[in-house]
Amino acid sequence: MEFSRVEIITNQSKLQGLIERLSKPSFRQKLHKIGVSGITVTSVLGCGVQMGTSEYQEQENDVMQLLPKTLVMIVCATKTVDELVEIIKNELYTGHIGDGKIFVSDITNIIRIRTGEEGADALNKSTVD
Amino acid sequence: MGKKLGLFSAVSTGIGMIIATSCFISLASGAGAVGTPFIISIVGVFLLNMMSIASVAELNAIMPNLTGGLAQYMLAGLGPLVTIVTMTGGYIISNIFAAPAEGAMFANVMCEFVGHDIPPAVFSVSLTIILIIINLRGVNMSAALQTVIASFMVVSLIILGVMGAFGLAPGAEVEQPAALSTDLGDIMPLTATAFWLFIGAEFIVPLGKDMKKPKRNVPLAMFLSFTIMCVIQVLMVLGFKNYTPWAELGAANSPHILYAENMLGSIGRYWIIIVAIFAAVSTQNSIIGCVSEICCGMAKSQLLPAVFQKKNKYGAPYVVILIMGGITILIEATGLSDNGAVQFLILTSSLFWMLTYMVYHINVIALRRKMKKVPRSFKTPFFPIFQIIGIAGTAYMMCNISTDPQERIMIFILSILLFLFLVVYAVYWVKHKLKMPLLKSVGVRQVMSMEDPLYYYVRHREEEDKKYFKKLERQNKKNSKKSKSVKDTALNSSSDSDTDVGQNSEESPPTYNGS
Repeated sequence: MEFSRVEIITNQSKLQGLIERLSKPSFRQKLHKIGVSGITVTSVLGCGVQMGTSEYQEQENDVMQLLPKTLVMIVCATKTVDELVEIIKNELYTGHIGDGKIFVSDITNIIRIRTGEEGADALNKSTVD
Repeated sequence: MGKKLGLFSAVSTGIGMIIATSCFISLASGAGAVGTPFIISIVGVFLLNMMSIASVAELNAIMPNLTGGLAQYMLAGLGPLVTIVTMTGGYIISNIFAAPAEGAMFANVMCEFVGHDIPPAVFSVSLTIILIIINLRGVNMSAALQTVIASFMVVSLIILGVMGAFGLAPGAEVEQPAALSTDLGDIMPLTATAFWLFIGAEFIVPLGKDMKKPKRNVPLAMFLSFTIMCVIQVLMVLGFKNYTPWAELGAANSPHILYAENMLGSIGRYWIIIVAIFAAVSTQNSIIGCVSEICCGMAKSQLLPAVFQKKNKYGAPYVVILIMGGITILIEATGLSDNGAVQFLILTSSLFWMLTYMVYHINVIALRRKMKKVPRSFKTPFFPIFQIIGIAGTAYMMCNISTDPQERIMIFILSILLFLFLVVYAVYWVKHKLKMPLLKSVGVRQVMSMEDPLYYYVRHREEEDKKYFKKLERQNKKNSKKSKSVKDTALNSSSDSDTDVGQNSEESPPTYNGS
């Protein structure tokens, strides 16, 4: 099975809705069905093409201004990426600057260090124990 | 801002706006003309306006949680000229006439209740004042009132409708044909009459930013409001067939009272009177609350003077509420609201309301082309079939705005004059104040950024700073006057007993100022 990594960079405030949705058992079941078994959330600093300019400002910043953001990483089966991305897009969309970006990349292998399991086995519950 | 509004409150606002006292009259006049086949017109308009609401819901999905909302969708789709003309004509002017007309109907019903000793204007003006106060207390207060009223109205009308439709009432049933005409040529033009039965659900959109789960609840509430109303209207028409002679129904000034009285006697009469009072109250409440939000949103987008976006400590756009309420009171107090001319003006401005529905469809088509990939939490199905049917159907209703040919021509002439006046105003405003191309749409990004309170400040920094410093100066002067008068009072009271203290105190300010 092929796997992909979906990374989302968004405003911290906007992430709350996504986290709330991820917390719902029905939604987690849906995610599990499409092959998502875990999620990693990191606080980061960054800016995009607007160089950290606020939405109301008339002119864009000349110098990069790093703003607090959240980076979410999800690994899922490649065939379910589109469905996952659709869910994330709809959840995070507000129409305002700062909604964020989604990066999708291929994963060549996944290894669970403790057991040495690889690929899908490394993502699912271990069968070695 | 307090608690967020739920789906129930949103549906209540929608229903409160849709059920107006004038709806009962439209319903009766349509049913009185062709009998139960009027249901075809009702269902037709229900489906057409559901398509319009679907387009509004899609626009709301692209630009969620905007103040007012509706004006910004137009701005992003078709530019400032179309926005000012349709929003001012369709929502502001039509509701400026609709609010006092509802007030007048409330006053008439109250007079039936308590007698004619008190002038009707006292009732209508008092109601408007109460609603102004409630709306000045913010969205939650207004929605709480709306929820109570709408729940009572819906339950009452469903009970009265079911009793009438299934012949369950104790009153004598009328033996009459179900259909007075089955000719589509008679039935279809009545869609313009039925249009009044299904407008206003889009007033839920301005509440979006105060709602729980707006992405789901805004479209759902709009669809539910229309569906509930459709069921009620159909039941009522079937009930009319069983309990009210068609001829009497068409001629009655208060057909709803006639219907309830024929079914339940005096109990029915008082029941429907309470429903009619509630309908008038809820419509006026929705108009004052939601139109003020729309104006506030237009001011944020600089389509109206900036003063309209001022809010009080409860988050209510108090300037618009006071102006809107003031005009309503003025029309009510002068007795103009009782006049047939106001009804005629409402009908005229309803043409603009229909035009607004057409423009929503055009906006959706424009934004589907321009922003194909934008995530939409709601998408109109079968694009662009609903939009095309919606535009064609609404255009048909506009052509049949009145069944009386002479009145229709008068409405068209007045509409053209009003249209020209609005175009002149819009051209002046866009060229001199906005300094923008008239027909060029404004990007969604810019429209969204206008929502930020700092957007206006940053672009008018000098004027705003001047205003702020003037205000500060005035406040300082006031404070210094206050402290001086407090000191003077203290001095006067103490001068009799202790002269030395008074002298020292009088000398101290120069020393302080000098230092």
